[in-house]
Amino acid sequence: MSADTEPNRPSAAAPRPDLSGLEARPGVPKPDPIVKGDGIRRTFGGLAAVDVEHIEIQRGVITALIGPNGAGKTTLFNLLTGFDMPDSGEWSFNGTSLQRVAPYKVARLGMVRTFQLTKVLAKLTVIENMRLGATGQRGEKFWSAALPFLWRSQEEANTRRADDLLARFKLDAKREDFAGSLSGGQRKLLEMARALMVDPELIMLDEPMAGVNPALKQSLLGHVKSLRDEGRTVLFVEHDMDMVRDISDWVIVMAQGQIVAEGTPSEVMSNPAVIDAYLGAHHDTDLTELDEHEIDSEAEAELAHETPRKADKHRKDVP
Amino acid sequence: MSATTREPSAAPTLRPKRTHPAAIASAVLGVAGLTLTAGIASPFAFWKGRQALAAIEADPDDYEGRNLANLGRVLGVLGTVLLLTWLVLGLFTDTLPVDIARVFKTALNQALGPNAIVFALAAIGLNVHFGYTGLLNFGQAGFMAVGAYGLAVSVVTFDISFWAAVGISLLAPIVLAILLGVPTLRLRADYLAIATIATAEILRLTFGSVEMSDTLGGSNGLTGYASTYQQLNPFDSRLDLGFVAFSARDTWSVLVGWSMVAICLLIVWALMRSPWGRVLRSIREDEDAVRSLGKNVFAYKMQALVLGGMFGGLAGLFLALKQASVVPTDYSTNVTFFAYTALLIGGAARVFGPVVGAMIFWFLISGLGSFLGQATSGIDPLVPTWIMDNTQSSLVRFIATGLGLMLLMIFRPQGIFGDRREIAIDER
Ligand SMILES: Nc1ncnc2c1ncn2[C@@H]1O[C@H](COP(=O)(O)OP(=O)(O)O)[C@@H](O)[C@H]1O
Ligand SMILES: [Mg+2]
Repeated sequence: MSADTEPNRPSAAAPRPDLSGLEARPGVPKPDPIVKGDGIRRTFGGLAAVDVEHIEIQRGVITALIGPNGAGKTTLFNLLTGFDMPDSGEWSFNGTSLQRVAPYKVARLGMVRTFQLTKVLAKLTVIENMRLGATGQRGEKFWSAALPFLWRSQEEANTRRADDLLARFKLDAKREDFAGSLSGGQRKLLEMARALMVDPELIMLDEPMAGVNPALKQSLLGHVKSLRDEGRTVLFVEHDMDMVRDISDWVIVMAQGQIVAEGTPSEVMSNPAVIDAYLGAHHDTDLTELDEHEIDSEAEAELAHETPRKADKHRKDVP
Repeated sequence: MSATTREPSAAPTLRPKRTHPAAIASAVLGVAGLTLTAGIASPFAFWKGRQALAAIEADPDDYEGRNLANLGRVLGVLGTVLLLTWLVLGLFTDTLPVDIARVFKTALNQALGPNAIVFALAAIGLNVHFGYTGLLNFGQAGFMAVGAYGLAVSVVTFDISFWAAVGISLLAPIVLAILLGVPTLRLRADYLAIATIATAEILRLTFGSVEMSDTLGGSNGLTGYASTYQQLNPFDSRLDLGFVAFSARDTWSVLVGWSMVAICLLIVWALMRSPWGRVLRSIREDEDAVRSLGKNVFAYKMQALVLGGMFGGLAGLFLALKQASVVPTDYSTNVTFFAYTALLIGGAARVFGPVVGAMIFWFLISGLGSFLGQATSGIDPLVPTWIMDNTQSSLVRFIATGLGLMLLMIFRPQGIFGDRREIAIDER
């Protein structure tokens, strides 16, 4: 069964690229970048939410994107995946330019993201959420939809794959529940599992651990690592420094829209510029113990602009 | 008991008491029962009143409104007694100037007749749009109009053969859907709503305009295109089954119409259980999530708009056929909202919802119309003229239907067929 459920990735066997010799400076070129971007800039009013000179994401490793709230991490995710339009800049995925490429096409190319504020489909069951993720479904085409014999076998294969993933993410007990009845942490898990149904080459996780209970966090760390071992590339935003230290091969630090530092986890954590930019006033506090309340209210403020494409619809035409 | 159900609060906060919503509902229903709805709302007033009292009893710190609930309950009892009296008197004696059996027969005739079919078809289309995909089409009347005029204008003005005209009538809504969808479906949901309602009005005014009356028939509309349809009628006498009766022409329309409904339902059922339908329902929940999984949301919305628009066009085509005339006033925005009413009554996103809804809608509208019409006519009408006269009674039934819809939304927000569990999910 696992033969057709696990993606067949040529790079899975290849040794993991070693980044330890790389120079630790912002925008440093990687040996084998899967994503390459230049001059990506996005402003909201006068504020430059993202202003990235050069960014490269190495293929086949786990890259963490960290930075204080409001640093522009989510906005960068939105830009890279086509959910938001930049003022200027260009970037490519696997050498394909993604200028003005629609989000769904980006996903089909193999670059799939999750959302900081989870987007589960509340009135669909968990298993239906999962099935939706599968790509190339014959049953999703209008003309073959009404003829089940055309898609039933594919649907069954997708369901098997979905069940495997649900078991892996400890959601199998919730299979038939509405996704809307899940807890915040479970929604994060479901969203991640659903993104994996797309079988992405690069998976971009926006704060995947937020709200996930500590016991599950540990096993989730294992899953993220196993994604890399399958040959996928992982880019994730996270505030939990233990997690960043534990699983990431490379860390990119953003502050006020710019990349202020890059390096291996240990390099970055000892970089005074990072401690400055990241911690600001919280100099003495453990990062993981930042004022919960403050984080909450900032998260709420972000609610308003999570999908800027919609909010900026009318503004887009104005030069 | 209340202490265990409420969250423990750190300090006894001074929260202001609020009137329990069921108490308000009960009072409103109680008054409505004794006035507009001829007693039909009264049992519900009684029921809500009891519910409110129980809730206030359980939570006296949070709720008030005992008096209101009591009022609703008492009025409910009175209205229910009145209702039962009327029913008994009307059904079993001659003392009442209202023939209850006739009321039911009229209502049933309409619920099963051609009018209900028109609304069932229109509502099936809205179900695809709004129920499954979340598209706000407020111009279903426009789709109906192009379906109806597609047939009539082709035959009458351009002398095209009947069957070719039927083909044009089926194609016209597709064109309209594409014209409406291309500019709006990439934008927020409200843009489609505005564009559709405006387009439907423009269409209606154009079809009725004096300037174009040579081609489109003006406000008198068009006739004389349905002879082929009528010649196909195999029935030559009236159909009387006791509880319903149709003229020969209506019998034919009922046969054709319900067959059309059955085919449409089959299509909707087959599509909505497929992965394609799953994508539509997902779009209704969250477009961006669907995009992030590699689905072309715009294409799916367009397909849904076209499909639902075709059902709307079919409703117009059927209306044009069964009535053998098209008049612009038949395609006013009212029609769209009545179709929405039917959909909400039956339950959105359920295959049979729109059909059952349309039947109930027509049952209530015509039943109430017949009852109130009889109750307000004659030398000594049952309802004194200072409450309501005969001309007013035909409007009151719409008010009463509106109240009925309110009742439904209070007691079964998911409609008759809807899934309560879906409504219970809060959007976190
Ligand atoms: N749609 C928007 N409209 C206005 N400002 C926005 C919008 N989206 C993001 N921002 C601003 O851009 C900055 C970066 O936000 P974001 O990318 O969400 O930060 P992060 O994910 O790193 O916490 C913040 O200051 C935020 O207020
Ligand atoms: Mg963010």
